[in-house]
Amino acid sequence: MLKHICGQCNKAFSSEKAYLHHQCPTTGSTPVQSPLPQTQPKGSKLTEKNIVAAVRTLRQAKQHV
Amino acid sequence: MAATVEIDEQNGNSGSPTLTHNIGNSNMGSTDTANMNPTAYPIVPGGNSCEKWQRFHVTDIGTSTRINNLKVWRSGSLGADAIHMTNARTSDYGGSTYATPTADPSTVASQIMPTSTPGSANLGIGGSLSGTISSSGYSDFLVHQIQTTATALAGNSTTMNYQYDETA
Amino acid sequence: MSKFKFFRKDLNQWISAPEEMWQWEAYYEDGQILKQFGEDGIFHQFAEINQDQLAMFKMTSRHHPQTYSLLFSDPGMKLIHFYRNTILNAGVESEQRTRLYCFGYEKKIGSKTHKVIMIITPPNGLIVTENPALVTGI
Repeated sequence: MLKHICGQCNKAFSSEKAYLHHQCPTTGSTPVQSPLPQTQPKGSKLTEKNIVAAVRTLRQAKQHV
Repeated sequence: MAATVEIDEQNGNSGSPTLTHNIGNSNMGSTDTANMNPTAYPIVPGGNSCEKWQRFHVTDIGTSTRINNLKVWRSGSLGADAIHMTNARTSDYGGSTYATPTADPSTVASQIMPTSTPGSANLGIGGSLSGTISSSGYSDFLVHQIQTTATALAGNSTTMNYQYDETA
Repeated sequence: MSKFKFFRKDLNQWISAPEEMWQWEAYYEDGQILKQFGEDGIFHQFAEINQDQLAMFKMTSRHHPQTYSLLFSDPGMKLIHFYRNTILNAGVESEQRTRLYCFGYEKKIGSKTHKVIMIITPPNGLIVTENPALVTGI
């Protein structure tokens, strides 16, 4: 039988349903309501260098075909 | 509401495993435990970490219709004396059935963990890279393990990255 | 609690539908508009868009003045829309979660399927690509 534990508050549950509906004291919400960030974090960086590198790799691969 | 997705880890004997939901970290060490403190369970040089068996878990699909195109990869330098192995792969893929995690060289994690975003899905759903989750549910198991050489030194670290597409 | 709601058939109940940073609007040939977050307070899924009648697909935001519009001048164009969610450095202090708003179309040209995807980035720029997997590190 599978035992369920909340990885945030360490509480144990006998069923997945019980885990999904518990109010986690660490996150402040139930697992079925946990909000994903709807706004983009201010610190996000668009690493154009990474994108250019990925494009270069693909272009070189196509040139060799 | 956007779909709610967490990363879970399964530990313990395959006959009576424990599933830890929404893990706080993927620290790897010499014991089979979720959210581990790696300094308490160091890997002996020349040995391997205990396998990690983890899954994407959609706890609520919200207003969306499906989750798919799962990708995993790592960032950071492990150094020359350690290698991060996984079962994640973009071709010839098949799902893995849970087995008691081992610190022996993994027979399941046979691929090198990618170090950049894979070009396509490398973790499946229902045994297929083109699988989808359309209500609450789980991905296939992501199995991974650090394997070291006898000259490995402490101090290197690597972090995990996850990606999934969501259709609303 | 969001002012928008969505009826979940599987749960047989209304659920709250918090607004997305970027929302879609589907403009039909007859002038009708279907908005993802309708003026009647109802959230609409992508599958509700009648692509046979689609003339223009627009991404708008209540937080930013710019809009991004895709014209469906060819009935052979098939609309694509999805969110690409990334968790970088999971479980450490520098963990970063981003949601890219992706939309575009695919079209058959001969025996090949041609796809163009537009991606709205966190700084609200637009990347246009045939290969969204190239947009990394965000």
